[in-house]
Formats: sequence, structure tokens, C-alpha cells
Amino acid sequence: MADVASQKTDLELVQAVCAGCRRSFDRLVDRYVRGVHAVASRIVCHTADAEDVTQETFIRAYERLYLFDQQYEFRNWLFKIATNLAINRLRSRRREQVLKFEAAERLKQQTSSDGGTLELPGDQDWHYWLGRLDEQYRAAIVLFHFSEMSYQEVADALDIPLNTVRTLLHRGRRQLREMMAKARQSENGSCDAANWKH
Amino acid sequence: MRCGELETLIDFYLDGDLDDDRSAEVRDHLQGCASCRATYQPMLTLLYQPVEVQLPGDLADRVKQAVAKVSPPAKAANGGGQHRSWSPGAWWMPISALAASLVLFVAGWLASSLWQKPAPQVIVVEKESAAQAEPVQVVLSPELLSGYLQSLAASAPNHPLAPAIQALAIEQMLAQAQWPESDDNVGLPRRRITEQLPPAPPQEQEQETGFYVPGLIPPLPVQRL
Repeated sequence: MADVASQKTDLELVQAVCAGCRRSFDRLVDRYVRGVHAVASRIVCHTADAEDVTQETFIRAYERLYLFDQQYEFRNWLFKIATNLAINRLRSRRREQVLKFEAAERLKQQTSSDGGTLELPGDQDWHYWLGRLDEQYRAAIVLFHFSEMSYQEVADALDIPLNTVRTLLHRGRRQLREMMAKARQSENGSCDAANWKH
Repeated sequence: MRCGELETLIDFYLDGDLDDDRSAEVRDHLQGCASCRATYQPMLTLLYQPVEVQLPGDLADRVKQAVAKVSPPAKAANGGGQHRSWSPGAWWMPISALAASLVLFVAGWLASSLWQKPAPQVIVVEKESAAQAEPVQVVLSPELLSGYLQSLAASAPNHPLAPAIQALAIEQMLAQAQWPESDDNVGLPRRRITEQLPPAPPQEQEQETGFYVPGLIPPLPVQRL
């Protein structure tokens, strides 16, 4: 029975839920909870908030399943809800300020404990780097690069024009690049901007 | 390819907008240039070799339990599709809100117009001579009449009706100014200037009683037509 349900498409499961079969929605939860949680985590950059956003995303999707437009993918619709909720959570908590403060405190503690040696986060420490990006850049980069959505799907998810998606991605990547290069410069004790401004 | 050129092309490369030859040039430069590799490699590692987010083991079960407590979704007409359905009985809410807004707007507009604007008055100026047998009717608010008077006095001082209109306007302005807080100056009664019009009260009397209107034009003598 579970195998049959797992073979159904998203649309078939949605139609089954709308027909009254709530257990079909459990299959959708199993299918997308990891992706929704990843999107939420990378935008809010906070473990507890990401779990709250994930739970709230599925509840809202279940309540408003009759609004789902069949011409779109259910996954993108779900990610759109998750993105909006995550951005709202971010704005309400002003998490960036807390993250920056925590990061500065962590660096300060590391500096004092290591006798003056700074240990910057690694290149794959997305929690640190994405948390320092502006929220609009962060959402576009998370959806495009980490959730592998197309430009049009990102535009639909964020309700912005297609060219704006390109602009956000370019500026976000530039901000990310400059942040990481600057951190490396600080790490190496070099202040020669010409090294990364060719 | 130079380093500055790579900075221009890197976003187009990451967007997949470059052709195969240019993409190969970008890749070759990134492999060969240590400076550019140091600049771009951290970002490329972050974006293209992401560390997977750890999913809490019980999160899916918690989500399912939370969803189970929620009331089931409303059924759309076609089983969940493009048509948005409204909850029963809720269709009248936006209509009634719109109607209430419209009523409030119209009521406010009527109240403000009745409260602020004095009723226009009819001033009939007649001349019983053969040259101008037709009476002249002017419908003006007191404010407009004052402006009209001053422009008329400036532009056509020799017009035969100008002195009479000037005198009437002065009289009305004095009437308004004497009771500025009263409603009596709103909607002045119809005035008629004829040959039998008694002479306007001399300004000297008003000044003798201590009446003073700031900015009022100098009194003009009333002339019989």
C-alpha cells in the first residue's frame, strides 16, 4: 500500500488529499520535508526557527491545498511558502543582527583562546556565510543554487521579475565573493586589495 | 583571458549563458590563475559543493502530527485546481465592505461641502434706463464676489454697473465681517439694487463705532445709476 502511494505523482497525491485522504499528505511530507527544511535552514540560519518554519510550511500548505495551481510543480509551490515564511521569520526576529553579534563574539573568543590567531569558518560553512548575506540575495541564492530551481521558478517563488532574479544573484554572489576574499585576506594578514581586484 | 575579463564573465558563466568555447576559457583561467582561484574558489565551493543540512530525525513525524490537528482543506470544485474557492457565506464580506466605504465617502463629501461652503446668492443689479433695460444677474459666493469686485474695479473702472456692484460687495463683506462666528453670514439673502436703493451706510459711521476690517479695500462712494 505504501509502495503504491509512494509511486503516485505529486498531483495525484494532492487530488487525493483534496478528496479527503489525509494520509496522502503524509506521503508529501515524507517526500519534501528534507527540502523544505533545507530551504528554511539556509534562509533563517537558525536551527529552532528552521524547524518551526518547516512545520508551519506544511500546515499552511495543507490548509490551502485547494489554492494550489496545477500548472506549477507542487515542490516549487511548497518552497515558495517556505521561503516567504522564512523571510517573515527573519524580519520579525532580526536574526541578522544576532548572527553578526554571535559571529563576532565567537571570533573574539577564538582569538583570545588561541593567543591571537583567528580561525575563520571554512568555505562550506554555509551557516556562517549565508547568514551574513542580505536577505533578498540569500533567498535568491538558496533557491537557485541549493534548491536547483530555474530563474523562472525563483521569480515565481519570490514574486519578482525574471531580470530581478539575475540581478539579485549577481549582486549576492559578488557580496559573497568579496566577503570570503576579505576574510581570507584578514586571515593571511595581507591588505593588498589588488590580489582580488583584477 | 585576463583576470579582469574573468570578473566580467564569471556571473554569465555561473548562469550558463556562455557558449562552450567561452566556458572552457573561464575554466582554464580558473585552473591556471592562482590569484583568481583564491578569489573565486571559496564561493564556488560554497555554492557547488554544499554541505547537506542535517534533518532532525523526528521532524517529519512532528510535522505529520501537527498537520493531523488541522482541519482538512476545503474541497475545490474540480478537486483542487486552478479555481479559487471561497468559504461558504463569505462572498458578501468584500461587497459589504465596499458598499460601506462608498456610503461613508459620499456622506463625508456631502457634509464637508454643506459645512464649509456658503450657499451661493443671487445678486440682481437692475438699471431702469433705456440703454440697459435687461437686469444683470450675478450668482457668486461671497468669497468670489470680493475677488470679482476688485478685478472689476481694476479693469473697468468706468463701467456703468461697477459702482453699484462695488457698493453691494462692500456691504456684504461688512455683513460677513461683523459676525464672523455666526452662521448668519452664510447664504445671504437676495439683494436688489435699483434706483430706489437707499444709499449704503457711510463708512465713517462704521469706523466711528469702532468697526475695522483688516485688508478691506477703501470704501467707494455709492452712486445712483
